[in-house]
Amino acid sequence: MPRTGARCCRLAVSGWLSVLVLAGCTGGHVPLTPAGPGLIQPGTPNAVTDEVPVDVKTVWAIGSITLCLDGPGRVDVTSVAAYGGNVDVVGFGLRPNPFLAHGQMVGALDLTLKGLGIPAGPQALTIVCDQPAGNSYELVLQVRAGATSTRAKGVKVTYESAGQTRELSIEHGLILCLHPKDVNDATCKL
Amino acid sequence: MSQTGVADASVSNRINYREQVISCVLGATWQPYSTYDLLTDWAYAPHVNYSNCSPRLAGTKWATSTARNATWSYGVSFPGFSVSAQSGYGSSQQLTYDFAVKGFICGNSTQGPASSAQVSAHA
Repeated sequence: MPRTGARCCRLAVSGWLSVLVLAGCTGGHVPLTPAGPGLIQPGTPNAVTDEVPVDVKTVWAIGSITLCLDGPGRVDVTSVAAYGGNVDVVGFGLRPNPFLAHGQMVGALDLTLKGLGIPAGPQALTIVCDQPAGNSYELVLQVRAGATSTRAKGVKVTYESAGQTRELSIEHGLILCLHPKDVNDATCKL
Repeated sequence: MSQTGVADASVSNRINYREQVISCVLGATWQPYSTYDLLTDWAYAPHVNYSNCSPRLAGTKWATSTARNATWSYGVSFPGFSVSAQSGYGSSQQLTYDFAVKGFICGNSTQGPASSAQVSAHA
């Protein structure tokens, strides 16, 4: 048993040295900061999940997803998709934070982006996060129900910044539960 | 562990923590190791309506969780609406708002309910 302990220590020391050597080798070759601004969620957002009751092929608007830039510049949001599941995101829209104009964000509504008056599709964003003032954008998803209930773990936003394609993953779960709800359908368990 | 039907109340989970020393270099962290008491210290918590709201249709649910320890001291109650809370082992909590009627989720931050430390719900 003592020999096993000694070997464990040697492996541990060897591992530490490897980490130190690898860390030293990467210095100066990897850019520490990207050239352009990044897209972030302001503050320290909680993971949230929206569950909506759907009929086959109906569309819903799900919003209240807040985004802003982490520095001056511009990013171009090119696409938004769900990850970790099979929710069909058929469109997205971005608009300045409506709370700053005494409006409401979109929660979960059975409406289209057009019906809500929110411009759909790729957009250039320039607003820098400035908490607590709250300057930011609201991202609104247009999701479509399938033939069965669907769910996803979160939302992935793809954007361009200074010529680089980057992604932001947002822990905003989506559950589209076919109505009437089947209590045994695991997809619908929140 | 879950609790449904929480209304205008504050409730605590008491968890015992131990200081865990990783190494002289990396220092120590506090880790939960046992439950002292769950769903205790019930007290009345006046209902608060925050102003940054988003509408939710009947039949929808909205759940929020935190990746850190949190103290929740808000209550929610109105006819046709229920709220449930699930708590992990001092490291994650989930609060689910179940809308039986059309209502609103409101946060104390203009950055939206997901970025709000406190949220309320009303019809």
